[in-house]
Amino acid sequence: MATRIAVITLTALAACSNAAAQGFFDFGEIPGVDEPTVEVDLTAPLLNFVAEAAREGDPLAADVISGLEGIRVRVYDTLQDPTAVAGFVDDASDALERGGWQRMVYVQDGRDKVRIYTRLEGQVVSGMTVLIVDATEAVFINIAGSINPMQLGRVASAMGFSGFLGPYNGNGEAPRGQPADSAD
Amino acid sequence: MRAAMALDPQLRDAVQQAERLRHELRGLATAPVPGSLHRRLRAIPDGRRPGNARRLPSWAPAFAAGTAVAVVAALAALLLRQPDRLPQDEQVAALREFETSMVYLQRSATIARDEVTTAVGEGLREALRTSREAIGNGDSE
Repeated sequence: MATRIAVITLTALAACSNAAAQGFFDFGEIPGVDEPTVEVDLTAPLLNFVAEAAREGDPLAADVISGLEGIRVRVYDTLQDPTAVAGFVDDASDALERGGWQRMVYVQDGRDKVRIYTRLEGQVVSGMTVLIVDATEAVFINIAGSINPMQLGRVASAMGFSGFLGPYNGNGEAPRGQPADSAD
Repeated sequence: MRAAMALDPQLRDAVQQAERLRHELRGLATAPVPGSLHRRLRAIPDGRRPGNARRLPSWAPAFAAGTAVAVVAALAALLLRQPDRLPQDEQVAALREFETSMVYLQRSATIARDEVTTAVGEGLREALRTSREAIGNGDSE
């Protein structure tokens, strides 16, 4: 009896973590690049903390953030081998599509590649992966968790304007690696 | 564990809930044993009869189940609790990293929008040029 309850409980916990893991995409070793200019790995506990920090100033943003399970960002300002990175984007796109991810944006313009994929669990978006590369730069983003794209877009566009992180930034210093043209 | 419970209301609630569940499981009535099972038990030779083994109290399975639930609940509470006691520098780092992520997400959306707009615009221009040429060819014939 005890064993059965323990097994059922652990199986349920494993199922929950597996559902969250559905939206993760591991970029692994990216060829043709050196160290990333920006490397972000935010896990669920840290995102919960961010959500609570945001709750007083923007409860809706806090709800959006608390649904997220993980965020990974890799930005490369210089590419050692742009062809290898472009090949990686193609390979990753194939892997995502084989894994059941839906193609949302797929642009191939010369050497520029822009790919945005989402993963659906029923009617809910459980993952979003962005792959962008041009001749000089590459950006890779993976967001896992319960995602409302409209609301997440609102949170993203409000960054730096809503000021809910203002007290933590204090001196008005830009976040690490913030691009100069990020305000557009 | 007591110190952790004192510091963390969520953990304390989870453990208290598990204890209540354990008490309720202990209070469950014992199910009647079917006659066929009694007969089979009597048919077991004395040396193997469970009655000769060290007997567990009737509430032992319920206690074990409750304990298992309590342990799992406490572990889950520890794993899922919010890191409200992160060091200040880790809090600042987490917030800045989130902000950086959103900035790049917004930037990616802008790039995607511009690329799609350009691609659609070029496609339309090409379609219009082809249509005009076709019309021009038709007029000249």
